[in-house]
Amino acid sequence: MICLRSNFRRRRVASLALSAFCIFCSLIFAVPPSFGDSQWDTANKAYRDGKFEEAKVDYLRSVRAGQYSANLFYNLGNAWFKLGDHGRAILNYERALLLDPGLDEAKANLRSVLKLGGTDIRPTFRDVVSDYADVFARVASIAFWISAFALVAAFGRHARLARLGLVVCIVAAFTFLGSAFTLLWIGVGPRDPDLAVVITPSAELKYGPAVSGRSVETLQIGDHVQVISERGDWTFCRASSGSLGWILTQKAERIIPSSGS
Amino acid sequence: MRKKLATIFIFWLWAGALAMADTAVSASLSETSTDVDHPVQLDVKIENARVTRPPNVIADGLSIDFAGTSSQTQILNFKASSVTTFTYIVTPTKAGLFQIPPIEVVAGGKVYKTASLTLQVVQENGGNADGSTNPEKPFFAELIVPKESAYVGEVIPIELRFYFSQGIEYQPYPQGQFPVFDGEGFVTKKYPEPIEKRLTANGRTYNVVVYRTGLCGVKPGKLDLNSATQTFLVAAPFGPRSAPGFVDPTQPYQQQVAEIKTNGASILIKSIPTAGRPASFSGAVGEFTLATSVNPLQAQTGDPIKMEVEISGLGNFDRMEQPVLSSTDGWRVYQPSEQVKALDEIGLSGTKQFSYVLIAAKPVNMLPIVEFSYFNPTSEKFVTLKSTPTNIQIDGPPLPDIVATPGAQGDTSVQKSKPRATPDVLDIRVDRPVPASFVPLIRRRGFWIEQAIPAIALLLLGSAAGVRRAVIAHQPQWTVNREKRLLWKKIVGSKSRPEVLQAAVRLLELSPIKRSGQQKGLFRPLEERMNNESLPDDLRNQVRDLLAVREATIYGHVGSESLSEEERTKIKSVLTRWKATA
Repeated sequence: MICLRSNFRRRRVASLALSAFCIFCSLIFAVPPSFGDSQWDTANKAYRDGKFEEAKVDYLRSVRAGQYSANLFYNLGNAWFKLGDHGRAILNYERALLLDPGLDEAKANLRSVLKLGGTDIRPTFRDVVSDYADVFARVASIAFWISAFALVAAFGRHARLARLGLVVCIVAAFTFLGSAFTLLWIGVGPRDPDLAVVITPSAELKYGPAVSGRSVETLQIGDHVQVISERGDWTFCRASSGSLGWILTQKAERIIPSSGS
Repeated sequence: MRKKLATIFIFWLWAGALAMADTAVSASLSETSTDVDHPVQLDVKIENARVTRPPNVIADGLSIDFAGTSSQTQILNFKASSVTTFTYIVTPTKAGLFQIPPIEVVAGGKVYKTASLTLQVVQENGGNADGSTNPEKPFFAELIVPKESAYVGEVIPIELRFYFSQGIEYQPYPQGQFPVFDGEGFVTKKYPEPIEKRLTANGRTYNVVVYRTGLCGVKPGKLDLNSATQTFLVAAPFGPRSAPGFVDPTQPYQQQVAEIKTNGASILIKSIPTAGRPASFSGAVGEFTLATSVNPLQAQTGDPIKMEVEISGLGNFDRMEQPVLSSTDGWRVYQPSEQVKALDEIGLSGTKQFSYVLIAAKPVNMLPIVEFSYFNPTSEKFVTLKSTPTNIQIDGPPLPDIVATPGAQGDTSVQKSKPRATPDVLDIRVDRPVPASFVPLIRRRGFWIEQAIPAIALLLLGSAAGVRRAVIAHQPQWTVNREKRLLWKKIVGSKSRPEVLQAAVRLLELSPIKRSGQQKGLFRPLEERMNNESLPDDLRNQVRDLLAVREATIYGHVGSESLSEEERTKIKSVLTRWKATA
């Protein structure tokens, strides 16, 4: 009788714990408000009808509302391309790839547009790894907790379980350390809010913030620059070659869109 | 050589024809009647003469600003004609009937004059959003739109004027900030740097910051510009004003950040007609001219030939796509590169250059024909410009395998159905967008909240193990205490003598446990403990008596079966003393 009661109590506690876990997970993974379906359809229809300007305006409205998604930036990139603004097309394909590194269409279109502009940007190994920064963060967190639980099991009374726990703990700890070091190595990578893309066919990097200033180097469309500071119409930045200089602010745009822009 | 001479001859004929044509100058206003502060557009057209500088136009009571230039050249039946149009924005500052005097244009050493124009200006009822009619206000703004209607894609030059009373210091805040429009369904050109001038309004002189830009409606319908807002850091002197012309450095200034709004305006955006739309029309709206050049004019098959196509004029260059090439049989045409050169500060007039690379795949003697169509909003008609057929000499063997290139346009009939063969990108995605964030995972709050789940689980696991260990450790103590409580209850409440005696002896055996705290003490015989020297003799004797009575009662069946209260008290006393000394 006592045994039956105890089993019943255990089950009740387990079901309560499960319910609490589900509520907790639903709070964490709650999906933000979805996109305005009609606006999305309207923009896509305008694009299909060849009204690229209208499509662009509608896509930009979603961007300004902060409804970021890989598909949105990809379509916006296409609209800019159709309007002849290859710089902004590149910028938006890069944004799409930042949100979804596996978006093959964006990769293909980015390659095509860069080729049209005569720019040949070959991503470094670090760039490729940086695209998967979130995956490394996830792996590191899972490995950390597995190693922690396995460590607890390693101190258990059951000899076989303890041995298995120790092995799992060591493997998970190495995985955690590997992922954590990779994260430290890549830093924020392309998600750096100060990273910008040159959106005009060419931009002169100058020694001073003046049109008459001497040129340090000529940047090509699609080149990345690291924004250091801004003064009036000019931006002080570091080119990917390492050169420092000033470019006209309108010639480069940050990859991470500022909220409300 | 012969072909070269022929080309030169054609150019000579064209230049001669142009020189022979009569020069004519005319001026026209977009409207002959308007309201105060409601601008109209003035076009000065110069036919068959080359004039690069805009003529000076001045009229009392009217503010006239130059907006842009366009020029157009065409040859019809070997008769060349060219038109250059200078566009101005005319803003009346007061009501009345105004005359724009004949405008003088110097061309080819001769002076030409337009007819004078008349503009009726009436006083509009009401003021603008920021109270420009209120002479007491130290600063205000106005939005100047020269047209009431335009076509989709047509660039409308607009002005934003921010007026500041004399003596007020001002600067855009933050520096480099440009005005922001409230409205939708339009795009604006990038702002050039603002200009400053001094203007008179409502009988007062103001310092005016003028922003110029171009506005372009993207959807047909009524376009409402609610206002344009610019933030200025304004410093105004307070207290009695110094004498005019005297700068008093000691005078205190009150500084404030002022958000200045202009009045609103409505423009009717008309859709571009579909009737008569040429196949080569790609959305360009304005007035344009077409010019081509090619280099070299003599080459071998397979040699790259550079053909430059320049489209110049007044209009929206952003919407302009590459022109269509026809008669491309035998040619490989590659995607052209594009370059826009603005001729004015807001990019209203300019030149868009398309640089094509052509490769002849077989001997040919004629360049492809360039065709470009646009919609002229003034005449409200489509215009198609075609390049003059240009001879070229290509020799050499035909190239093997003429593969269609991305920009190749071979058959003219196909050409018409597909006016543009631009390099394309993969199609858009129509599946619902999945919301995503640019914030790295490790910087998201949700990620760290997620970590709380295993952390709590680990904590619970550790706590459960600790509790289990504590329970195991204290189990014997709890059992003993529970037994002691039951025994004491029996001693106090039971009437059975053997039962009480048995319980008392058991309690004597258990009692030392509590003090010693040693588990093994539980099993130490009572006799051994009684031999402890610290135990008082009388208590030892009493305990011995109690043990003897218990043995006699239980094993010898001696004495009564029921317990007297006196004996119970005695037993309790022994137990209490035993407990105290244990």
